[in-house]
Amino acid sequence: MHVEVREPAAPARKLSRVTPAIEVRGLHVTYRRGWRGRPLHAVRGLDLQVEPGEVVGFIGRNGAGKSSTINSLMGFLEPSAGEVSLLGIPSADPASRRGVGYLPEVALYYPWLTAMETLQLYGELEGLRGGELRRRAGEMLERVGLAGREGERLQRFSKGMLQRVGIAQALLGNPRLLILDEVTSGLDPVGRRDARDLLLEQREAGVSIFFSSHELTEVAQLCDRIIVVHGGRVIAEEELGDLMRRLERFTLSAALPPGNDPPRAGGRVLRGRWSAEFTSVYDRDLAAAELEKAGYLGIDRGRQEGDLEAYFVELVQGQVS
Amino acid sequence: MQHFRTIRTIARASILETVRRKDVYVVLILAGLMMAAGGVFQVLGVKDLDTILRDVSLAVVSLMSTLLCVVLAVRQFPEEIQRRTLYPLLARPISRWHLVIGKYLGAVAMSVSALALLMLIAWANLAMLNIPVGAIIWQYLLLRVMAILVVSALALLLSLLLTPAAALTVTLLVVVGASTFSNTLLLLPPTVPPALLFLLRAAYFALPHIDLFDLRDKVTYSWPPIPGWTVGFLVAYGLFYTSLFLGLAVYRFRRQML
Repeated sequence: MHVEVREPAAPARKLSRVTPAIEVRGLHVTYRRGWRGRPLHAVRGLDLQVEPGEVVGFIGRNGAGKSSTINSLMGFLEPSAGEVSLLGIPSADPASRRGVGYLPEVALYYPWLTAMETLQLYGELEGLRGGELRRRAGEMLERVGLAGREGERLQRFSKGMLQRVGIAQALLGNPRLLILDEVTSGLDPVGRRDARDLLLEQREAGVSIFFSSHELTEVAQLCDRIIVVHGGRVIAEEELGDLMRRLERFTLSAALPPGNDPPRAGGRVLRGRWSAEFTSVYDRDLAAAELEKAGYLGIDRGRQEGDLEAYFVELVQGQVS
Repeated sequence: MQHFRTIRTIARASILETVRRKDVYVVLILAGLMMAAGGVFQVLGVKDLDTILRDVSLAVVSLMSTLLCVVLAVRQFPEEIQRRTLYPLLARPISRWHLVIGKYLGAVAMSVSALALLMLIAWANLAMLNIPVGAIIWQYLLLRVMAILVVSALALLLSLLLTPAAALTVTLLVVVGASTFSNTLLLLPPTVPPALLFLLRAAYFALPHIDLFDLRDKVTYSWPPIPGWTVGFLVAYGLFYTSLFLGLAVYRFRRQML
């Protein structure tokens, strides 16, 4: 498969006049170790925008700048340069985090608190009070499958259970924007499916979601758009529907009589069958017609969904080389 | 009101952590045993037993409450930064100063509670041995609280600048060293170069003198209460250093990359 590496173009979507859920302009993050340490440029002039109600996957290799970008969004670190805003408010202002749910990559919660106390702590900081807070916390624990374990301290929880607590705390304040770092990290297959369903529910409710993930299947299932980052820069930005259509492959195979050469250049022969992939259905059907005309038997037409992983690997390897 | 609620929530979480970690209980039990061990002197028929036991009990109270307040304040931030438990907290619509003040108040609340319990143990111990304590004990207690406020603020500030071990050591050096340093300054020979004398005097006035808050000797030797204006001055002195250290801690933490 050939992937063309392009400069990130303005995404093909309507320009909205409403306030973007996330807006990043010319973000630079530079780390410096000690007074005289060499600066490490983690993010180099990154621009991105997430529209209200949009689900955007933020993908890249380890060290590509994903976490630094997310930390800048959340105000955990001060950008070296650039502007970052959440729901129209600069991220340096704590008010920008009102209406934002955040899930960190690894479970980072107080082990001496119970699940209910954890949610109550974060809920109170969110501005929830009394009965409403208890009701909402109970509801959230039930939704993530932790009903009946509210009173247990987190030190007894497995990694997957802690991630569920994380999801519950992120959704606690009825957020309008969710920023998730490796949402399904540590979850078993059932947990993954539940988390995905919860996110799909949020998406249906019009919540904007921005999440980083190495699980590209998950990205393909949830996202409207993907942003690929490498070396601290955005190297690709694609509407997922368009991309998957572009990556879709049409297959053709036919039985190869013994001693016969393959019917066309390209393709491959395996256990007496010739097969090939085409980027358009038209080309594939044209080839099928040729095979039929030449008398080949056992002609089989198929369709292969786009392989996001192969796309990503090729894109990133293109950058490396 | 919202600021107050936020700070209270953070302080409560910090208190809950200390209570559930149980290390305060170890200090209290140890202090109780040390004070009770003073009763041995009674069996041996030591002279001026009242004075010795008051001194031992208050020394344990001062030492343990100081150690505890330094340890509690020093571990507020480094552990949270290392464990990254600060992230979900800071992901809320709260400012970093809320976190500094909330954690400081949580540490102070626990240190003051521990001080109250230590005093209760000391009092019970002295009462059992029929040893009287004068009214100056209340001033002693108030000034210990002021010392906790200053030392906790200093320890918190240093924990944001240094490693936890270094912060602990430097805080203890300032707490213990300030009194030694001030005494040494009085003994300097006139041959000391003026520039060095100026530097030493500048350091003398810049560092907080925690020893000023210590009325232990006066309680031990049954002094009458000290004048109210002196207590008032010491409270203002303590509040000045507390505000200074907390202000610097907030400034530092606001600029800290997590």
